[in-house]
Amino acid sequence: MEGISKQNTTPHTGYETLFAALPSAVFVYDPDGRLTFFNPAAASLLGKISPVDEMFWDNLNFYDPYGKALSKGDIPAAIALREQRQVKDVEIIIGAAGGIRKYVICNARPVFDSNGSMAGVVETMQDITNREIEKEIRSLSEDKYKSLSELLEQRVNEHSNTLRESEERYHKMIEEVQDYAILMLDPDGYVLNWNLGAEKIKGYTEAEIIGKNFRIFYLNHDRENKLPEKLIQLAHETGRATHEGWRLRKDGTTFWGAVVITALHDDNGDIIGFSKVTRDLTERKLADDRMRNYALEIAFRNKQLEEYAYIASHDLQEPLRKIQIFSEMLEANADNEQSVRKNIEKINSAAKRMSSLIKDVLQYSQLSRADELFADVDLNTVIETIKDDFELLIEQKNAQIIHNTLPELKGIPIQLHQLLANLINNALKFTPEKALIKIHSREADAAELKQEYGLNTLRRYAVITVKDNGTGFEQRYGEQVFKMFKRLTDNSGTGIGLALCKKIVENHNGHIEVASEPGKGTEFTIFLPVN
Amino acid sequence: MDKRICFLIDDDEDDREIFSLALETVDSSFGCSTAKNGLEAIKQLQSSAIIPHIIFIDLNMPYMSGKECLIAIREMKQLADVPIIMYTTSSYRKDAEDTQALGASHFLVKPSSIGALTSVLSDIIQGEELPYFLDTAKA
Repeated sequence: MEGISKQNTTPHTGYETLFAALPSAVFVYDPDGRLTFFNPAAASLLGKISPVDEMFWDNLNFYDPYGKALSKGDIPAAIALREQRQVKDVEIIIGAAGGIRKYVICNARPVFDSNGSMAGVVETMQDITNREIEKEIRSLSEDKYKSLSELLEQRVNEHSNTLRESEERYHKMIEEVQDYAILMLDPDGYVLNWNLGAEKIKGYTEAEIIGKNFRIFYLNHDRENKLPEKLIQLAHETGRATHEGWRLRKDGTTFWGAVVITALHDDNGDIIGFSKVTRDLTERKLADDRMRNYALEIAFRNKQLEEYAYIASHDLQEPLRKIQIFSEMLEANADNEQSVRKNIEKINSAAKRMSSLIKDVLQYSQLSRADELFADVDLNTVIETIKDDFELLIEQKNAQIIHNTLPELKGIPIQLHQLLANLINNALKFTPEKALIKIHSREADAAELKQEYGLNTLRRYAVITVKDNGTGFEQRYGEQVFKMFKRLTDNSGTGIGLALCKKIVENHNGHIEVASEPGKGTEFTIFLPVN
Repeated sequence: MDKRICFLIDDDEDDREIFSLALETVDSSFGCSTAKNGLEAIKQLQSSAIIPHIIFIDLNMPYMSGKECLIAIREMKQLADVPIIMYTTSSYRKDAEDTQALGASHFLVKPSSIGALTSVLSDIIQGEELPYFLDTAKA
């Protein structure tokens, strides 16, 4: 290059610096078309592939912008030389070895000397290759983009079709699930949609339930305790709420529902509603309850067996042992008539005691808590029956039994009869004469329903008192009287009667206690649930 | 020489009678004193200067159980050296263990014959080496 620029020390030297500074390639030809000058931009136009010299043009090919080959005479400089006119803004493509193509805009203009004769041609070429390539790419890209966006559109359509289908399938799936009630709630708990499972489990059709609040599925006391609101609140705060409990069907029957409420959020994280999935686990719940009752029953029976083992080892032994001893004494003193009579009497009395013990133990053992035994029992009728049973004893003791109106309640008839009969019998037994037995019933105050009695403060209870004017006992033995075989006197009792009473009251989910004072009398107080 | 006394606390009248009879048979030099429940027994023991030779306590009694009675007597200083024997129909091991822990010397299950009772009473009075749990039915 350096060589070439040295070579080009032409008469135009004064413009050399100016030309050198131009970004456009500048070529100067003599009237014969020989290259006499070029500037650095011209030298770098085709780079090293085709060095610029006199032969420069010979090694190149020319094309018009549409790619059609041009002859050497068609290029702007040749035209300007031949026709001695200016050729303006002609776009041509110069091709060089190695696949190089340059897009250029040519301007060629003849130069005349002072005589007006042709002195040569000055040609400038502006390299627009990049622009053209960009243009080409742009146009290419436009097509591509166009097809791409078409493709995209197509894909999106396909996708949304698939989505719609999948959504439809999904909806169908949810709609047709029968084992779960699946529904959506708005943020306030109003039902937005409904599926077959929901209809099956809860009994409402879609038309009946849409727009109703889901509170409708809850039992009265759950609604009063704001359970539905609490669950919604929990799902709101933690995203999820689960609960198991009795729920209401349309027809008013109940089922044991396992519920999961899940909060649904929009893209901003705001809650737009809740999904609610409910399973009917009534069967399982009932089975669980049955199992629990069996377990309780087994525990109860085991305890009973233990008690019987104790009874067999102790209380039933006692009269038996006496029979053996008095028989032995009878044998040893067979000649003594008085002794024989006495021992036989003792044997008889022990045998009687044995018999009544066995009877009482049997009665105690038959105290079942089975639910199916519960029926409506009118305690007024029960008292009248007992009065008939004890008619003789009442007459003997010159006793009087008075009572106010007693409640009718759900209970095991035979047990409630035993309960009151035992208490009345007890009162008669410990009142030597002129017995006045007062039976009184009233409704319990909430304050009386103490936790330690195992009473439910939400239920209603009757308080029934059985009061006598008998011998009484010291209050500190109040607890002992309810224990099996505990007797406070050497009276003929078996020590089972009051233990029986306590068990009966417990079977009825109630409570029994006693207050007594020596010489004044005894008062039994019973709490029993009423409807 | 003072008559030695066996003190029986038992609510069962028949048993008190049988016991006295058996004791009389074993050794007539022994006197039998009885109480029909724990409260009565404590009152008697506190008011009397006589220290019994042996005390027998029934387990199942009204007002004060045999165990409560045992505890109360064990707290009486003047009776600290008197052996106490539980005398009961119960052959319930738990009762035996409980009373041993409370300071009883023997647990005697009431025998079903006078002969067996006299025999075991004789052994006790003579200070024979005997196991804690005495059940003539199993011996």
